[in-house]
Amino acid sequence: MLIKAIGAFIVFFSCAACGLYLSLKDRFRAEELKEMKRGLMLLKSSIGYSSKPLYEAMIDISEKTENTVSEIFEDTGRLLKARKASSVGEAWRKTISDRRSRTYFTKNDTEMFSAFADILGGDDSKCQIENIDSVIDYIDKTAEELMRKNNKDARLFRSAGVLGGILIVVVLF
Amino acid sequence: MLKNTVLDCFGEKMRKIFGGYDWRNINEIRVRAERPVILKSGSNEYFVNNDGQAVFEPQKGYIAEHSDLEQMVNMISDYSLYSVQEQLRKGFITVRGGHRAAFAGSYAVENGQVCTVKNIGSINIRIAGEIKNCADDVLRFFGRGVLKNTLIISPVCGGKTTLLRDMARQLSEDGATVGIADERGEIAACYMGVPQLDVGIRTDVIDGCPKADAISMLIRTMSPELICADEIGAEEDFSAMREAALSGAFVICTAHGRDEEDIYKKFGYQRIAEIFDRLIVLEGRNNIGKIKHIANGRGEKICL
Repeated sequence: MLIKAIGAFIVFFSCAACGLYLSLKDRFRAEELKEMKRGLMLLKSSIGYSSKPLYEAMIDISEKTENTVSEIFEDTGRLLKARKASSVGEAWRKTISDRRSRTYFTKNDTEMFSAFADILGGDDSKCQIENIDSVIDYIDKTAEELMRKNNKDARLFRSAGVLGGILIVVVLF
Repeated sequence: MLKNTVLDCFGEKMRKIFGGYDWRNINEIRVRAERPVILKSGSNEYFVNNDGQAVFEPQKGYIAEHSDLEQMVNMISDYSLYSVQEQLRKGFITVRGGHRAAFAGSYAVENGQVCTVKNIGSINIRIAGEIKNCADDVLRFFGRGVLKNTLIISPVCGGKTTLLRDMARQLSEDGATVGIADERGEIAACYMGVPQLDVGIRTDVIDGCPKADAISMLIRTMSPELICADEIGAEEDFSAMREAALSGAFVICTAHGRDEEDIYKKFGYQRIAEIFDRLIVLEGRNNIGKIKHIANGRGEKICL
């Protein structure tokens, strides 16, 4: 009986935790996107005003941003500094793919960032700033949509998790 | 150090091929798309085969691909072409180590001004070289630590800048505050504001700025006892030097020319005699750095 109760408890909390995770996933992704936006805004000012080389700008930005975004900027900056990539796009893609399991970015997000990184570094400051602005636009739109979706779906996922857990426990008992 | 800074200009593939090469006697590396890479040492030319060995037949040399040049542009600009746009407009970039990478390709022009270079087809890397103590004879002749308004005259590739750099270095080491107006980055070869060539411990460098403006700025801000500038010629350069002389600073400059007569013809006797106390004439390309004679400002030879 005790084992059954423990099993039921585990099943219930697992389902509730899944519901909670699903309800928060979009919010985490939106927050990560916003952190990336912050990094890109800093990059924009480094390119536009101080014309710093990318590796230097990226290492500086990694100190001013947090979590995975900070790591992406730092590792890309270090790869460029050590000249271990043939292009910025290659370095950026490598650092993002190394962290795929630890980020909330979706395939769409990473594809957008990769397309951005392919252009990064070339041409003049004006083109670079336009390139950064287009990614920031994408982040703004995506984050807004995610928050709207999150407000609508979060309660549903949480309730579904809890109710699903109760349902399984009842059925199994 | 020299090898690393040169190899830093190449992409991974070329770095592997050229990694084992001894760069000490090489002055220039010419990389042209779909043609063999040429290394120049004085008037000699070499090619390097795929195993990194020097060969003399062009058909055995490593043929540079477009992707090699693209990667070189990435490496030379630190993957940040936008940060070297100003330098690129002049056609070259100074890289770490003081080497100069010059580009040829399609230049984009907007409103009559060069914006950038695209489709780069050739890259020429001039390896920075400094010959320390090459100014010993001149400075011994002038008297140790004595400053004089000096013009170094020689045809192209005669060693003017090398002599000027060493004079600046030695006078700086001897205690003089030196200011260098390095418009084309050839004297100090600054990379991110730091001279890559030894120009002395009491030397301040303004690079990338028109000579005349740089000389005025140096006088106003850094109070130098000696000002050095390369390849003078424009009217405003002479005005700036007159300003320097009035402020009590000495000047050492270089100018293209065969000898003092050639210089008088180009710039006017009065102008040269008024500013310079000493004219050092070098032998030229066939005897790089060798002094032909030294004259005073009026053209009277005082040392043969």
